[in-house]
Amino acid sequence: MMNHLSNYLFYFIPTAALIPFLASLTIFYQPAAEKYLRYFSFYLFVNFLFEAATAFMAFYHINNIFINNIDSLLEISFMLYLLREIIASRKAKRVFLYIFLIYPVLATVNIFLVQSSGNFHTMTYSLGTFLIVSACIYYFWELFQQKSSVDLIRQPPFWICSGLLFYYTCTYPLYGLTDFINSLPVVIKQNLYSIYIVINICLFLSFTIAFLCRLKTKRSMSM
Amino acid sequence: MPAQNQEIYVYVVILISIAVALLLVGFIVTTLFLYQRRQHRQEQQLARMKDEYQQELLRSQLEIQETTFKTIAMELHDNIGQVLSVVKLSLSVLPLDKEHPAFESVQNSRQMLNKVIYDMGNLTKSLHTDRITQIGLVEAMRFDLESLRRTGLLEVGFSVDGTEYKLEDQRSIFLYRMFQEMLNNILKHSRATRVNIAVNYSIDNKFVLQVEDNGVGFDMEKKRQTSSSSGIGLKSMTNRASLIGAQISVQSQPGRGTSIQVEVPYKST
Repeated sequence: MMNHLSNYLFYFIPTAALIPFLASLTIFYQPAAEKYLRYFSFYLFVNFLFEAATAFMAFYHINNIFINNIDSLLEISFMLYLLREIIASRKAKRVFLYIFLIYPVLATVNIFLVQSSGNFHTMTYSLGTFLIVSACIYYFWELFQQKSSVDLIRQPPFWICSGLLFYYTCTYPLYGLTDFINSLPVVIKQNLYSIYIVINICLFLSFTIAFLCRLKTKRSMSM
Repeated sequence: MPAQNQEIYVYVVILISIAVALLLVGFIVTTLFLYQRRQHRQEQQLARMKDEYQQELLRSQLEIQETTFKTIAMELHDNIGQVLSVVKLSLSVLPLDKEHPAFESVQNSRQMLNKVIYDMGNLTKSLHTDRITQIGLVEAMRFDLESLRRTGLLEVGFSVDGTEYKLEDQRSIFLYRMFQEMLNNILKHSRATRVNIAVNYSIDNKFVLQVEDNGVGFDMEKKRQTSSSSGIGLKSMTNRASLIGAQISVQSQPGRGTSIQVEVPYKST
Protein backbone atom coordinates (compact mmCIF):
# COMPACT_ATOMS: atom_id res chain seq x y z
CA MET A 1 0.00 0.00 0.00
CA MET A 2 2.77 2.39 1.06
CA ASN A 3 4.83 1.50 -1.98
CA HIS A 4 1.80 2.06 -4.19
CA LEU A 5 1.22 5.50 -2.61
CA SER A 6 4.86 6.47 -3.03
CA ASN A 7 4.55 5.89 -6.76
CA TYR A 8 1.95 8.62 -6.89
CA LEU A 9 4.00 10.91 -4.66
CA PHE A 10 6.45 11.37 -7.54
CA TYR A 11 3.81 13.25 -9.51
CA PHE A 12 3.21 15.80 -6.79
CA ILE A 13 6.31 17.89 -7.33
CA PRO A 14 6.06 18.26 -11.16
CA THR A 15 2.39 19.15 -10.77
CA ALA A 16 3.21 21.67 -8.03
CA ALA A 17 6.03 23.07 -10.21
CA LEU A 18 3.64 23.63 -13.10
CA ILE A 19 1.29 25.88 -11.07
CA PRO A 20 3.76 28.76 -10.42
CA PHE A 21 4.83 28.60 -14.07
CA LEU A 22 1.21 29.07 -15.17
CA ALA A 23 0.78 31.88 -12.61
CA SER A 24 4.00 33.49 -13.87
CA LEU A 25 2.49 33.92 -17.34
CA THR A 26 0.36 36.74 -15.90
CA ILE A 27 3.56 38.79 -15.57
CA PHE A 28 3.60 39.27 -19.34
CA TYR A 29 0.29 41.15 -19.04
CA GLN A 30 1.69 43.50 -16.40
CA PRO A 31 3.59 46.23 -18.27
CA ALA A 32 5.35 47.62 -15.18
CA ALA A 33 6.63 44.23 -14.00
CA GLU A 34 10.35 43.91 -13.27
CA LYS A 35 12.57 42.13 -15.81
CA TYR A 36 13.79 39.52 -13.35
CA LEU A 37 10.22 38.32 -12.86
CA ARG A 38 9.97 37.66 -16.61
CA TYR A 39 13.22 35.67 -16.50
CA PHE A 40 11.86 33.88 -13.45
CA SER A 41 8.91 32.75 -15.54
CA PHE A 42 11.29 31.14 -18.08
CA TYR A 43 13.23 29.55 -15.24
CA LEU A 44 10.04 28.07 -13.79
CA PHE A 45 9.32 26.41 -17.11
CA VAL A 46 12.81 24.89 -17.23
CA ASN A 47 12.42 23.86 -13.60
CA PHE A 48 9.13 22.15 -14.42
CA LEU A 49 10.86 20.17 -17.19
CA PHE A 50 13.62 19.11 -14.79
CA GLU A 51 11.13 18.11 -12.10
CA ALA A 52 9.11 16.12 -14.60
CA ALA A 53 12.25 14.39 -15.87
CA THR A 54 13.51 13.51 -12.36
CA ALA A 55 10.05 12.27 -11.34
CA PHE A 56 9.84 10.16 -14.49
CA MET A 57 13.27 8.65 -13.85
CA ALA A 58 12.49 7.99 -10.19
CA PHE A 59 9.23 6.31 -11.18
CA TYR A 60 11.10 3.92 -13.46
CA HIS A 61 13.91 3.47 -10.89
CA ILE A 62 16.53 5.13 -13.13
CA ASN A 63 19.33 6.87 -11.25
CA ASN A 64 18.59 10.61 -11.42
CA ILE A 65 21.45 11.92 -9.28
CA PHE A 66 23.19 13.51 -12.26
CA ILE A 67 20.10 15.34 -13.48
CA ASN A 68 19.41 16.38 -9.88
CA ASN A 69 22.92 17.78 -9.65
CA ILE A 70 22.42 19.82 -12.82
CA ASP A 71 18.96 20.93 -11.67
CA SER A 72 20.20 22.10 -8.27
CA LEU A 73 23.21 23.84 -9.84
CA LEU A 74 20.93 25.72 -12.21
CA GLU A 75 18.43 26.42 -9.41
CA ILE A 76 20.95 27.85 -6.96
CA SER A 77 22.65 29.93 -9.67
CA PHE A 78 19.37 31.39 -10.83
CA MET A 79 18.21 32.07 -7.27
CA LEU A 80 21.46 33.91 -6.59
CA TYR A 81 20.78 36.06 -9.66
CA LEU A 82 17.18 36.63 -8.55
CA LEU A 83 18.21 37.65 -5.03
CA ARG A 84 20.87 39.94 -6.46
CA GLU A 85 18.13 41.72 -8.39
CA ILE A 86 15.85 41.89 -5.36
CA ILE A 87 18.43 43.32 -2.96
CA ALA A 88 18.62 47.12 -3.07
CA SER A 89 22.11 47.85 -1.69
CA ARG A 90 24.69 48.43 -4.45
CA LYS A 91 27.54 46.97 -2.40
CA ALA A 92 25.61 43.80 -1.71
CA LYS A 93 24.63 43.61 -5.39
CA ARG A 94 28.30 43.71 -6.37
CA VAL A 95 29.16 40.97 -3.86
CA PHE A 96 26.32 38.79 -5.13
CA LEU A 97 27.42 39.37 -8.72
CA TYR A 98 30.81 37.84 -7.93
CA ILE A 99 29.13 35.01 -6.05
CA PHE A 100 26.76 34.46 -8.98
CA LEU A 101 29.75 34.19 -11.33
CA ILE A 102 31.94 32.04 -9.09
CA TYR A 103 29.36 29.62 -7.71
CA PRO A 104 28.51 27.76 -10.98
CA VAL A 105 32.22 27.21 -11.63
CA LEU A 106 32.78 25.85 -8.13
CA ALA A 107 29.70 23.62 -8.29
CA THR A 108 30.64 22.26 -11.74
CA VAL A 109 34.15 21.43 -10.55
CA ASN A 110 32.66 19.75 -7.48
CA ILE A 111 30.10 17.76 -9.46
CA PHE A 112 32.49 16.47 -12.10
CA LEU A 113 35.83 16.33 -10.33
CA VAL A 114 35.50 16.28 -6.53
CA GLN A 115 32.32 14.50 -5.44
CA SER A 116 31.88 12.89 -8.91
CA SER A 117 28.61 12.89 -10.83
CA GLY A 118 27.48 9.62 -9.19
CA ASN A 119 26.90 11.41 -5.87
CA PHE A 120 24.84 14.42 -4.92
CA HIS A 121 27.08 17.52 -4.68
CA THR A 122 26.37 18.04 -0.98
CA MET A 123 29.32 20.38 -0.38
CA THR A 124 28.49 22.97 -3.02
CA TYR A 125 24.78 22.50 -2.35
CA SER A 126 25.39 23.38 1.31
CA LEU A 127 27.40 26.39 0.23
CA GLY A 128 24.62 27.48 -2.17
CA THR A 129 22.01 27.03 0.54
CA PHE A 130 24.06 29.13 2.90
CA LEU A 131 24.44 31.89 0.29
CA ILE A 132 20.73 31.93 -0.57
CA VAL A 133 19.68 31.97 3.09
CA SER A 134 22.16 34.80 3.71
CA ALA A 135 20.76 36.78 0.77
CA CYS A 136 17.19 36.26 1.99
CA ILE A 137 18.10 37.39 5.51
CA TYR A 138 19.88 40.39 4.02
CA TYR A 139 16.72 41.28 2.07
CA PHE A 140 14.66 41.07 5.28
CA TRP A 141 17.23 43.19 7.07
CA GLU A 142 16.91 45.81 4.30
CA LEU A 143 13.16 45.77 4.84
CA PHE A 144 13.69 46.38 8.55
CA GLN A 145 15.99 49.28 7.72
CA GLN A 146 13.51 50.97 5.36
CA LYS A 147 12.14 54.23 6.69
CA SER A 148 8.80 54.00 4.95
CA SER A 149 6.54 50.99 5.20
CA VAL A 150 5.56 48.82 2.25
CA ASP A 151 2.56 46.62 1.72
CA LEU A 152 4.37 43.28 2.01
CA ILE A 153 1.38 41.28 0.86
CA ARG A 154 1.62 42.93 -2.56
CA GLN A 155 5.41 42.59 -2.86
CA PRO A 156 6.61 39.69 -5.05
CA PRO A 157 10.17 39.83 -3.57
CA PHE A 158 8.75 39.28 -0.08
CA TRP A 159 6.92 36.10 -1.16
CA ILE A 160 9.90 34.86 -3.15
CA CYS A 161 12.35 35.41 -0.28
CA SER A 162 10.00 33.93 2.32
CA GLY A 163 9.53 30.83 0.16
CA LEU A 164 13.26 30.49 -0.50
CA LEU A 165 14.22 31.01 3.13
CA PHE A 166 11.65 28.45 4.24
CA TYR A 167 12.61 25.94 1.54
CA TYR A 168 16.37 26.12 1.91
CA THR A 169 16.47 26.11 5.70
CA CYS A 170 14.01 23.21 5.92
CA THR A 171 15.50 21.10 3.13
CA TYR A 172 19.08 21.69 4.18
CA PRO A 173 19.06 18.75 6.62
CA LEU A 174 17.57 16.58 3.86
CA TYR A 175 19.86 17.57 0.99
CA GLY A 176 22.93 17.97 3.12
CA LEU A 177 22.56 14.36 4.26
CA THR A 178 21.34 12.94 0.93
CA ASP A 179 24.17 10.48 0.55
CA PHE A 180 23.59 9.29 4.11
CA ILE A 181 19.79 9.17 3.74
CA ASN A 182 20.20 6.89 0.71
CA SER A 183 21.45 4.20 3.07
CA LEU A 184 18.37 4.44 5.35
CA PRO A 185 15.45 1.95 5.21
CA VAL A 186 12.77 2.58 2.55
CA VAL A 187 10.05 3.47 5.09
CA ILE A 188 12.13 6.28 6.58
CA LYS A 189 13.09 7.53 3.11
CA GLN A 190 9.43 7.62 2.12
CA ASN A 191 8.54 9.59 5.24
CA LEU A 192 11.32 12.07 4.57
CA TYR A 193 10.25 12.30 0.94
CA SER A 194 6.70 13.15 2.02
CA ILE A 195 8.10 15.99 4.15
CA TYR A 196 10.19 17.08 1.18
CA ILE A 197 7.05 17.19 -1.01
CA VAL A 198 5.21 19.36 1.51
CA ILE A 199 8.14 21.80 1.67
CA ASN A 200 8.28 21.91 -2.14
CA ILE A 201 4.56 22.59 -2.38
CA CYS A 202 4.98 25.47 0.08
CA LEU A 203 7.82 26.90 -2.05
CA PHE A 204 5.81 26.69 -5.25
CA LEU A 205 2.81 28.18 -3.46
CA SER A 206 4.89 31.18 -2.38
CA PHE A 207 6.12 31.62 -5.97
CA THR A 208 2.54 31.45 -7.23
CA ILE A 209 1.48 34.11 -4.73
CA ALA A 210 4.47 36.24 -5.77
CA PHE A 211 3.15 36.36 -9.32
CA LEU A 212 -0.48 36.87 -8.40
CA CYS A 213 -0.16 39.29 -5.48
CA ARG A 214 -0.04 42.38 -7.69
CA LEU A 215 -3.03 41.51 -9.82
CA LYS A 216 -5.96 43.81 -9.27
CA THR A 217 -9.32 42.13 -8.84
CA LYS A 218 -12.45 43.90 -9.97
CA ARG A 219 -15.25 43.86 -7.46
CA SER A 220 -18.80 44.35 -8.61
CA MET A 221 -21.73 45.20 -6.40
CA SER A 222 -25.30 44.62 -7.33
CA MET A 223 -28.31 45.98 -5.50
CA MET B 1 25.13 1.83 19.04
CA PRO B 2 23.12 -0.70 16.93
CA ALA B 3 22.49 0.26 13.28
CA GLN B 4 18.68 0.50 13.71
CA ASN B 5 18.98 2.86 16.68
CA GLN B 6 21.40 5.00 14.72
CA GLU B 7 18.93 5.26 11.81
CA ILE B 8 16.15 6.30 14.16
CA TYR B 9 18.51 8.80 15.79
CA VAL B 10 19.35 10.34 12.40
CA TYR B 11 15.67 10.38 11.44
CA VAL B 12 14.76 12.23 14.66
CA VAL B 13 17.64 14.67 14.21
CA ILE B 14 16.47 15.47 10.66
CA LEU B 15 12.90 16.00 11.83
CA ILE B 16 13.99 18.23 14.71
CA SER B 17 16.24 20.21 12.38
CA ILE B 18 13.36 20.78 9.97
CA ALA B 19 11.07 21.81 12.84
CA VAL B 20 13.66 24.24 14.24
CA ALA B 21 14.29 25.70 10.76
CA LEU B 22 10.56 26.07 10.24
CA LEU B 23 10.14 27.85 13.59
CA LEU B 24 13.09 30.14 12.87
CA VAL B 25 11.83 31.15 9.44
CA GLY B 26 8.29 31.55 10.78
CA PHE B 27 9.62 33.78 13.54
CA ILE B 28 11.65 35.96 11.13
CA VAL B 29 8.83 36.37 8.61
CA THR B 30 6.17 37.00 11.27
CA THR B 31 8.36 39.56 13.07
CA LEU B 32 9.04 41.38 9.82
CA PHE B 33 5.41 41.30 8.86
CA LEU B 34 4.24 42.65 12.23
CA TYR B 35 6.95 45.31 12.23
CA GLN B 36 5.98 46.53 8.77
CA ARG B 37 2.30 46.57 9.70
CA ARG B 38 3.01 48.62 12.80
CA GLN B 39 5.17 51.00 10.79
CA HIS B 40 2.41 51.32 8.18
CA ARG B 41 -0.15 52.07 10.90
CA GLN B 42 2.13 54.71 12.43
CA GLU B 43 2.63 56.37 9.03
CA GLN B 44 -1.12 56.43 8.47
CA GLN B 45 -1.65 57.93 11.92
CA LEU B 46 0.99 60.58 11.25
CA ALA B 47 -0.59 61.47 7.90
CA ARG B 48 -4.01 61.72 9.56
CA MET B 49 -2.63 63.96 12.30
CA LYS B 50 -0.97 66.20 9.70
CA ASP B 51 -4.22 66.39 7.78
CA GLU B 52 -6.17 67.22 10.93
CA TYR B 53 -3.63 69.87 11.85
CA GLN B 54 -3.90 71.45 8.40
CA GLN B 55 -7.69 71.44 8.60
CA GLU B 56 -7.62 72.95 12.07
CA LEU B 57 -5.18 75.62 10.91
CA LEU B 58 -7.37 76.44 7.94
CA ARG B 59 -10.49 76.53 10.10
CA SER B 60 -8.79 78.91 12.53
CA GLN B 61 -7.69 81.16 9.67
CA LEU B 62 -11.19 81.29 8.28
CA GLU B 63 -12.71 81.88 11.72
CA ILE B 64 -10.30 84.77 12.25
CA GLN B 65 -11.25 86.11 8.82
CA GLU B 66 -14.96 85.89 9.70
CA THR B 67 -14.36 87.63 13.03
CA THR B 68 -12.44 90.37 11.23
CA PHE B 69 -15.27 90.81 8.73
CA LYS B 70 -17.73 91.03 11.59
CA THR B 71 -15.63 93.62 13.42
CA ILE B 72 -15.23 95.70 10.24
CA ALA B 73 -19.00 95.49 9.63
CA MET B 74 -19.72 96.63 13.20
CA GLU B 75 -17.19 99.45 12.97
CA LEU B 76 -18.65 100.62 9.66
CA HIS B 77 -22.19 100.51 11.01
CA ASP B 78 -21.63 101.92 14.49
CA ASN B 79 -18.90 104.52 13.88
CA ILE B 80 -18.61 105.60 10.27
CA GLY B 81 -22.32 105.02 9.62
CA GLN B 82 -23.24 107.15 12.64
CA VAL B 83 -20.89 109.94 11.57
CA LEU B 84 -22.25 109.90 8.03
CA SER B 85 -25.82 110.04 9.38
CA VAL B 86 -24.91 113.04 11.51
CA VAL B 87 -23.31 114.75 8.49
CA LYS B 88 -26.42 113.97 6.41
CA LEU B 89 -28.63 115.41 9.15
CA SER B 90 -26.44 118.52 9.43
CA LEU B 91 -26.60 119.07 5.70
CA SER B 92 -30.37 118.67 5.65
CA VAL B 93 -30.90 121.33 8.34
CA LEU B 94 -28.68 123.92 6.68
CA PRO B 95 -30.75 127.12 6.16
CA LEU B 96 -30.11 127.45 2.42
CA ASP B 97 -32.69 128.53 -0.12
CA LYS B 98 -32.57 127.73 -3.83
CA GLU B 99 -30.97 131.05 -4.75
CA HIS B 100 -28.00 130.47 -2.45
CA PRO B 101 -24.74 129.92 -4.48
CA ALA B 102 -23.88 126.83 -2.35
CA PHE B 103 -27.31 125.20 -2.67
CA GLU B 104 -26.52 122.99 -5.68
CA SER B 105 -23.19 121.73 -4.38
CA VAL B 106 -24.81 120.93 -1.00
CA GLN B 107 -27.58 119.03 -2.82
CA ASN B 108 -24.95 117.06 -4.77
CA SER B 109 -23.08 116.31 -1.57
CA ARG B 110 -26.30 115.06 0.05
CA GLN B 111 -26.98 112.75 -2.91
CA MET B 112 -23.45 111.41 -2.82
CA LEU B 113 -23.75 110.97 0.93
CA ASN B 114 -26.98 109.00 0.46
CA LYS B 115 -25.25 106.71 -2.01
CA VAL B 116 -22.28 106.21 0.31
CA ILE B 117 -24.61 105.38 3.21
CA TYR B 118 -26.59 102.97 1.02
CA ASP B 119 -23.47 101.22 -0.36
CA MET B 120 -21.94 101.03 3.07
CA GLY B 121 -25.15 99.49 4.39
CA ASN B 122 -24.92 96.82 1.69
CA LEU B 123 -21.25 96.19 2.45
CA THR B 124 -22.00 95.89 6.15
CA LYS B 125 -24.75 93.38 5.44
CA SER B 126 -22.59 91.20 3.22
CA LEU B 127 -19.72 91.27 5.70
CA HIS B 128 -21.81 90.48 8.77
CA THR B 129 -21.69 86.77 9.53
CA ASP B 130 -24.69 86.68 11.87
CA ARG B 131 -26.95 88.20 9.25
CA ILE B 132 -26.22 85.34 6.82
CA THR B 133 -27.31 82.75 9.35
CA GLN B 134 -30.32 84.85 10.40
CA ILE B 135 -31.87 85.50 6.99
CA GLY B 136 -30.71 82.26 5.35
CA LEU B 137 -28.36 81.47 2.51
CA VAL B 138 -30.82 82.00 -0.34
CA GLU B 139 -31.91 85.41 0.92
CA ALA B 140 -28.29 86.54 1.44
CA MET B 141 -27.43 85.44 -2.08
CA ARG B 142 -30.55 87.07 -3.52
CA PHE B 143 -29.59 90.32 -1.80
CA ASP B 144 -26.11 90.30 -3.35
CA LEU B 145 -27.47 89.41 -6.78
CA GLU B 146 -30.02 92.21 -6.56
CA SER B 147 -27.21 94.69 -5.87
CA LEU B 148 -25.29 93.26 -8.82
CA ARG B 149 -28.33 93.52 -11.09
CA ARG B 150 -28.82 97.17 -10.12
CA THR B 151 -25.29 98.01 -11.26
CA GLY B 152 -26.29 96.95 -14.79
CA LEU B 153 -22.96 95.22 -15.33
CA LEU B 154 -24.48 91.79 -15.88
CA GLU B 155 -27.75 90.03 -16.59
CA VAL B 156 -28.44 87.90 -13.55
CA GLY B 157 -30.50 84.71 -13.45
CA PHE B 158 -31.31 83.11 -10.10
CA SER B 159 -33.34 79.97 -9.52
CA VAL B 160 -34.09 77.95 -6.41
CA ASP B 161 -35.26 74.38 -6.80
CA GLY B 162 -37.00 72.67 -3.89
CA THR B 163 -37.83 73.96 -0.44
CA GLU B 164 -35.06 75.70 1.42
CA TYR B 165 -33.84 73.96 4.54
CA LYS B 166 -31.42 75.28 7.08
CA LEU B 167 -27.83 74.18 6.72
CA GLU B 168 -25.46 74.38 9.69
CA ASP B 169 -24.31 77.95 10.40
CA GLN B 170 -20.69 77.32 9.47
CA ARG B 171 -21.69 75.59 6.25
CA SER B 172 -24.00 78.46 5.30
CA ILE B 173 -21.28 81.03 5.96
CA PHE B 174 -18.66 79.10 4.01
CA LEU B 175 -21.05 78.53 1.10
CA TYR B 176 -21.91 82.19 1.07
CA ARG B 177 -18.22 83.17 1.06
CA MET B 178 -17.59 80.75 -1.80
CA PHE B 179 -20.50 82.26 -3.68
CA GLN B 180 -19.06 85.75 -3.11
CA GLU B 181 -15.65 84.55 -4.35
CA MET B 182 -17.29 83.15 -7.50
CA LEU B 183 -19.10 86.45 -8.20
CA ASN B 184 -15.91 88.36 -7.50
CA ASN B 185 -13.98 86.19 -10.00
CA ILE B 186 -16.71 86.69 -12.62
CA LEU B 187 -16.60 90.46 -12.20
CA LYS B 188 -12.83 90.63 -12.18
CA HIS B 189 -11.83 88.14 -14.87
CA SER B 190 -14.66 86.69 -16.93
CA ARG B 191 -15.90 89.66 -18.99
CA ALA B 192 -19.26 87.88 -18.92
CA THR B 193 -22.57 89.47 -19.89
CA ARG B 194 -24.72 86.94 -18.13
CA VAL B 195 -24.50 84.91 -14.96
CA ASN B 196 -26.85 82.13 -13.87
CA ILE B 197 -27.06 80.92 -10.32
CA ALA B 198 -29.00 77.78 -9.47
CA VAL B 199 -29.57 76.47 -5.98
CA ASN B 200 -31.00 72.99 -5.64
CA TYR B 201 -32.58 71.69 -2.44
CA SER B 202 -34.62 68.98 -4.15
CA ILE B 203 -31.90 66.30 -4.47
CA ASP B 204 -31.92 63.76 -1.64
CA ASN B 205 -29.20 64.27 0.97
CA LYS B 206 -27.40 66.85 -1.12
CA PHE B 207 -27.37 70.61 -1.48
CA VAL B 208 -26.15 71.86 -4.87
CA LEU B 209 -25.04 75.35 -5.84
CA GLN B 210 -24.21 76.04 -9.48
CA VAL B 211 -22.78 79.27 -10.86
CA GLU B 212 -22.42 79.63 -14.64
CA ASP B 213 -21.25 82.55 -16.75
CA ASN B 214 -20.85 83.18 -20.47
CA GLY B 215 -17.47 84.86 -20.12
CA VAL B 216 -14.08 84.23 -21.66
CA GLY B 217 -13.41 81.09 -19.62
CA PHE B 218 -9.90 79.79 -19.01
CA ASP B 219 -7.58 76.88 -19.68
CA MET B 220 -7.85 74.76 -16.56
CA GLU B 221 -4.52 72.99 -17.07
CA LYS B 222 -2.66 76.31 -17.37
CA LYS B 223 -4.50 77.68 -14.35
CA ARG B 224 -3.31 74.74 -12.25
CA GLN B 225 0.29 75.40 -13.19
CA THR B 226 0.31 79.15 -12.63
CA SER B 227 -0.48 80.89 -9.36
CA SER B 228 -2.39 83.99 -10.34
CA SER B 229 -4.79 85.80 -8.02
CA SER B 230 -7.82 84.00 -9.48
CA GLY B 231 -5.95 80.75 -8.86
CA ILE B 232 -5.70 81.75 -5.22
CA GLY B 233 -9.43 82.45 -5.25
CA LEU B 234 -10.09 78.94 -6.57
CA LYS B 235 -7.72 77.49 -3.98
CA SER B 236 -9.52 79.38 -1.23
CA MET B 237 -12.85 78.00 -2.46
CA THR B 238 -11.44 74.47 -2.55
CA ASN B 239 -10.11 74.88 1.00
CA ARG B 240 -13.46 76.10 2.25
CA ALA B 241 -15.21 73.26 0.42
CA SER B 242 -12.95 70.64 2.02
CA LEU B 243 -13.67 72.06 5.47
CA ILE B 244 -17.42 71.58 5.11
CA GLY B 245 -17.09 68.26 3.32
CA ALA B 246 -18.26 69.73 0.01
CA GLN B 247 -17.18 68.71 -3.47
CA ILE B 248 -16.34 71.46 -5.88
CA SER B 249 -16.08 70.92 -9.64
CA VAL B 250 -14.96 73.60 -12.08
CA GLN B 251 -15.54 73.31 -15.81
CA SER B 252 -14.17 75.89 -18.18
CA GLN B 253 -12.81 76.27 -21.68
CA PRO B 254 -11.35 79.38 -23.29
CA GLY B 255 -14.20 81.33 -24.95
CA ARG B 256 -16.91 79.04 -23.57
CA GLY B 257 -17.57 80.42 -20.12
CA THR B 258 -17.17 78.79 -16.74
CA SER B 259 -19.39 76.58 -14.63
CA ILE B 260 -18.71 75.88 -10.97
CA GLN B 261 -20.73 73.38 -9.01
CA VAL B 262 -20.58 72.87 -5.27
CA GLU B 263 -22.19 69.79 -3.74
CA VAL B 264 -22.66 69.56 0.00
CA PRO B 265 -23.85 66.32 1.56
CA TYR B 266 -26.77 66.94 3.89
CA LYS B 267 -28.17 64.64 6.56
CA SER B 268 -31.82 65.36 7.21
CA THR B 269 -32.75 64.99 10.86
